[in-house]
Formats: sequence, C-alpha cells, structure tokens
Amino acid sequence: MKFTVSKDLRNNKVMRNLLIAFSTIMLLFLALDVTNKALRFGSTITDIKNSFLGNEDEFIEPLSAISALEMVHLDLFIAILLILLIGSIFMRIDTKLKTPFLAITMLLSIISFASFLASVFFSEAFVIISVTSFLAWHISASSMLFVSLSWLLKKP
Amino acid sequence: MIDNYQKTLITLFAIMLLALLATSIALFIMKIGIEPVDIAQHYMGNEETFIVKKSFEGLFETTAPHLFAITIMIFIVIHLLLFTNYKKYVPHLLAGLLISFITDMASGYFLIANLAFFAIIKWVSFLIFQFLFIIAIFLIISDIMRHKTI
Repeated sequence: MKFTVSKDLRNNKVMRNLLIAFSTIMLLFLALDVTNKALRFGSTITDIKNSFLGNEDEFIEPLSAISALEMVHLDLFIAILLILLIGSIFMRIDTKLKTPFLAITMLLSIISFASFLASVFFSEAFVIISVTSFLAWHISASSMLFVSLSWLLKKP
Repeated sequence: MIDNYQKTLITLFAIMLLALLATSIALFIMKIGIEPVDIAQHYMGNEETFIVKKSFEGLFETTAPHLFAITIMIFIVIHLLLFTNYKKYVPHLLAGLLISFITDMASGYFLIANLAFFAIIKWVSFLIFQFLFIIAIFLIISDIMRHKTI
C-alpha cells in the first residue's frame, strides 16, 4: 500500500494514473449503485415505501427482515472499503474542510444503513431519512472523488 | 502522532466495522439460530420441522465471498493494530482470528457430511471470532483515543 506512505502521489506517474483510474471507476460505481437501488426499489417515495413495507392493494410483498439484513451486510462491507480508500486519497488534499467532509460522508452512510433497517423493522417514518441519507452519502463521496480527481490531474 | 483527519477516518471505520459485525451476528441468529442444536438442524436438515439439508453448492456460495471479505477485514484491522501500543498482542489475535474463522467456515462442510459434533465447534468458533474481532476493534479505538500514536 505504497500510496498510504507517499506524501505527494502526483510525482509518481504510475501511482497518479492508477489513482485517477481508481477514482473514475469508483465515481461510476457510486452512480450505478444509486441507479441499481432505484431500479430495485423504485424512484419515488411511494414506490420505495411499497417495496420496503409491501402493499396489499397492489399485491406487493414486503421486504423480509433477512433480505434487508443481508443487503445491509453486503452494502456495509462495500461502503467500508470504499470510504476507507477514498478517504486515503482525500487525505492528501490541503484544505481545512477535509475532516468535516469525511466525517459527514461516513456518518451519513451509517445513518443510511441504520434508517433503512429501522424502516423495515420499526416504522415507515424512517423511509424518508433512509432515502435522503443514502443519496446524501453518495453525493458526498462523489464530491470527495471529484476533488481528489481534480487534485490528481493538477500538475504538482 | 496522527492528525484529526486520520483519527476521524479510523474511528468511524472502526464504528462501521462494529456495525458490520452486528449485522453478521443478527443474520446468524435469524437464519441459523442461537444454540448448537439449531446449527445442526440448519445444515443437516430435519424432516419433522421440514428443514431441508444444505447442499454443497449452497454452502460454497456462502464460503467463497466470505473467504475474500473476512480475510481483507482481518488484514486491515491487524495492519492498523501494528501501529498501536498493542502490537504485542497482534500474533495471538491474528492466530485466534484466522483459526476461528477457518474452523467456522469448515464446520459447515463437516455438518453436511452428517458429523453433528461440528455444530458445537461451529458455534464456539463463531463466538470466538466475533469476540476477538470486537477486541481488536476496541484496541484500535482505545489507542486512538488515549495515546494518539497510531
């Protein structure tokens, strides 16, 4: 993990290109993750509520507790690795805002997973929090990647 | 010394890992059960309660991604522990984590081969793995909070 110890990665051409490619693909992943969830659960709050909690009138089965937990289990693993890696690149950027930015991204992702489970297990009131925090942490992580990309593309 | 950014990154990483462990414990309880008898029934099946015996393919589908994911997580956590004041515990923790993880994974295969005794081994190794992983995460958090030397 050379990039965790090298101070200015932009001086190393191979490392720089590698991180540019990595950041670009991760941006694509974040966009596809949102698309994937929108296709699976719907893109309006009503559709999402129906997918999570079911709807007897429209014969939609609710999401089972085990399916919800399995989804969180897998997505949380991906989010942990993703944020850890994005955070390690973002660390190099010289701005006072980087710590609050990172904290907000990580906290939003935790809130997103917790509120998703709360909406399935406890109350439909958590659906809006779940959707909002899910979108917010994806936007926040994408912004971190955009800032990192612009820093990597700049000449040292 | 670590700066605020690194402190935030590692602390929140540790909290997210604890959440991941919580989901794995919840899934274990909800899908399999709490006692060794439940584990034996889950893998070996039970005609009276209409539980179908697990197939080799089904078990392999779970083992393959977990081998990758858990090994990466062990690597990251142990790698972070090496920078703490608790690095003297690393060899024991690593051995404990790897042995309990492999035993937990392998026990399922012995259970579908009708060796019921492995239900107890799976149960114990799962508990040991979770316990050691939680200890490792708390050691990282406590080092960051107290000594700031990671």
